[in-house]
Amino acid sequence: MTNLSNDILYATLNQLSVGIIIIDEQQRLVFFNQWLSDYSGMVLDEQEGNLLDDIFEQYQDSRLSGACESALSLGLPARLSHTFNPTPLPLYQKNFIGDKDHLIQQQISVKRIATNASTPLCQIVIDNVTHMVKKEQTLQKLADENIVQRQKAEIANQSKSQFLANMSHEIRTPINGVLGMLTLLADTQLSKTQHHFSTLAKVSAETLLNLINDILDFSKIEAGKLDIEKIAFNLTDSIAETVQAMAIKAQQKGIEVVVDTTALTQPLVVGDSSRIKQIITNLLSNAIKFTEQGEINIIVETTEQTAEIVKLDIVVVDTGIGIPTKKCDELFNAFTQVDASTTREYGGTGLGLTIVRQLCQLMGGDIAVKSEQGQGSQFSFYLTLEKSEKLNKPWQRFTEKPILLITTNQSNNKFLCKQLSLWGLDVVGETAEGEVLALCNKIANNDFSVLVLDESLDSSLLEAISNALFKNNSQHDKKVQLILLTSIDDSQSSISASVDLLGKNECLHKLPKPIISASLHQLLTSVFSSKSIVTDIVNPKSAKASQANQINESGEVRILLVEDNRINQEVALGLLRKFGYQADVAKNGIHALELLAQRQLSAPYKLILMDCQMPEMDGYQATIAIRTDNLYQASSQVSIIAMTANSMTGDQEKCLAAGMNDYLAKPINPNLLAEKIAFWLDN
Amino acid sequence: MTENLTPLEVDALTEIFNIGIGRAANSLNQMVSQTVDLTIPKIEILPNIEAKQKLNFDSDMEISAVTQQFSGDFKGQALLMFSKENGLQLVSLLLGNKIPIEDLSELEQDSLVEIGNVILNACFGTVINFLQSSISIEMPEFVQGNINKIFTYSSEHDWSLYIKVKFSLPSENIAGHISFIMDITSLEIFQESVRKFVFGITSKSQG
Repeated sequence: MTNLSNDILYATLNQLSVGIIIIDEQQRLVFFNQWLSDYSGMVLDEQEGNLLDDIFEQYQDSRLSGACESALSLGLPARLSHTFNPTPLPLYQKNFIGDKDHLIQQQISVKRIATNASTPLCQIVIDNVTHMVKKEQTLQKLADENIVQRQKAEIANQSKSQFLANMSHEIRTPINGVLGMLTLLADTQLSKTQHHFSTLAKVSAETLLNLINDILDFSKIEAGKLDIEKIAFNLTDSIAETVQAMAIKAQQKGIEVVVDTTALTQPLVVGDSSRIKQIITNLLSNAIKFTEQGEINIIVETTEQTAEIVKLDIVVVDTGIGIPTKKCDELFNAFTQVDASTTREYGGTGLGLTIVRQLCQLMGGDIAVKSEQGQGSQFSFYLTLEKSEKLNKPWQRFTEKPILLITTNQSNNKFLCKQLSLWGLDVVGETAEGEVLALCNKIANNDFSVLVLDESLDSSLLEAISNALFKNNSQHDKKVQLILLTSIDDSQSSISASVDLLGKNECLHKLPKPIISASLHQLLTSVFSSKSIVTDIVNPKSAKASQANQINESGEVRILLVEDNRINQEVALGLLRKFGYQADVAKNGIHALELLAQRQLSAPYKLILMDCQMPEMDGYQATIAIRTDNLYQASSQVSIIAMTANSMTGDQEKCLAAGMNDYLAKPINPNLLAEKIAFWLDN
Repeated sequence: MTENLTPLEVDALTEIFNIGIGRAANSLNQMVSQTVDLTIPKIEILPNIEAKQKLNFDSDMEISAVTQQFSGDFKGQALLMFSKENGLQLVSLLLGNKIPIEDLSELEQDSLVEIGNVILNACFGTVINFLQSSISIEMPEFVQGNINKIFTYSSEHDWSLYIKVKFSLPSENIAGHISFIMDITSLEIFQESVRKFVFGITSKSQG
């Protein structure tokens, strides 16, 4: 210490890269260093002995001056942070002295100097934190932007959910119209063919609706929020319906579709039929899309069976363009197609197989693909399903004479032989290439009970058969029946002279392909019983549906239908008429309230069918008004059934919370509607 | 073992600390746009172990603290402690930050140091002014960590002058804890000063 002269100490202080000010008890300047001189533009010699108040105008009554006073009088050290005191002293960046825009940001420490001197001194140390402030501001800005981005993303996500909800509503409304109209159409005077078409149109519309639901569900799957239903259903029927709805497209391309469910001995299972239909629809539509000629086989195999469960392999095999083997693994990834040109040529989102795999996995299964370019594709998925408690009614066996089966397609032939044999029938199965002509003699000899012929057989062949058949039938009382396998849309097929010829045969029955076991069995039953001759098989389901809606003769009942969409009005009115109910229509909540008020004293409504989303006043508001407003006191307890296309979870709760009694999701299921109306009118 | 202060002495001590802390509130109000009210509900003199329990901080809880060492008539360490969340809240409220912050930046730590410094100085000022003690005080520092890292000066035999401080802001109430950790000798001197002070007042009022 003794070696440190004052000169050295001064020099050292002047070299420091912080500002140092020393003041005495009266706050007069004793010293400031070179740094302070540089940043303030002042010279020590000129200021020494001046009051700090006079040197720096802004020092007067400042927090810094207070801190200095405390330090001098009580010895309390103080720290002045930049945040509360950004620029306590007029210090500027070098070369910008006096420029307010270039004040430096400061951080100050004030402390009494511990000396033995009688009068205390105080030192003020100033740090230049301008750079640090800038750095933190930049960081803060980035953090703020980050937060804003995150909020934006959250809002975007919310609006996406809202968009999905809206889309769900918007798409469901027209489909509701389509389905409703098709239901009504099915009950009008239709030819068998028209009936068949309308049934298929309805199945397709339902498939479309399911697809839309499922695509909307894709986000749910991604979020792990998709629930798999557990409801008892007939798997064979589900598969048949799905394939039938799709097959018309395949047949238009000249592709044979064969559904072989013979291995499914226990078709009543518990599971989610719409999800399984969705999987099959998806695989089948791909198969049809990528196949130009040949056939598509849908084969169900039972791999394991216990008393409780059944394990199934469902295979969809096509003879299409195939997939390069090394690309097979990527197929199930979202938004992946074999290559970009696929999308251009065949369309599609590339989402289908991803959904399919996720659905399989959700149902405790998985899916695999085997394919080679140009060799067709084979998609097989497996599922484990619980068996339904209900017992399956086994097929009734036949004891008739052999059946002669002649088809163009080998797979179809094989499947039909297998199926017919299972029913106890002997089958002679031939394809067009076989020794068919030799069989004609046998036909003439009355060796067969039924002839099953493919419509697409060579015309000369059909003619020969027709002649043989004619010869036989003219000699025997018990005539040989003829079943002609047609495509779904037989107006499309070229009607040859021989088909015409066959058509004149009174024993002719037509069965549309793809052949569904149940339809074939039904046809054979009626053919063998020969009590009534069914010439065309319609979807058995629609027959059931029309039975369910018995006419209700309660003309007195007053129902108010509140619905803004004209098509939906008509659908609902049509259904109500069918059940035998009268109904008035209101086009929104306000209109409904008017009608209710008018009628409540004379002939009050007993039931209101209430749409939820309507212009001017929605169903929720209308319901609340009816339940709470004194104006409608006489009708305040009327039963209200909500009918809404909203299918998002929570809708039902919302309806009930508004005071409605029950809830029906659109598209309206006619049977359910009839049930609910009957229930609430009884109440 | 030291004799505890009488209730009267504790009351007097609480009173003078409240005067000091009132000044600190004034200083804070000048620094920030918010109106801050500071109160000291109670002052206690406790063995360190009990004071530590009083703080009610879990051992794994992050604490932000401002500390100043002192020496002279009595020596030890003054601590103003907040839970990390409360510290963040206080700084962002006083700085008027709208966006919640997750961690104090260096400059914000510095602002907490200044707040702590103002409050601790008020306490020191009270001690120096009323108790006529001579102490020298060091610059404030910021420390962060769990209670065992912060409450360091202690040995089993040390004592704490424990002061709970309530920050009443218009929108929020935040609690801070002040501890003057002293060894037993310092505490005895401190208590002696308090007794002298109280005796001074009472004898004045009697005389």
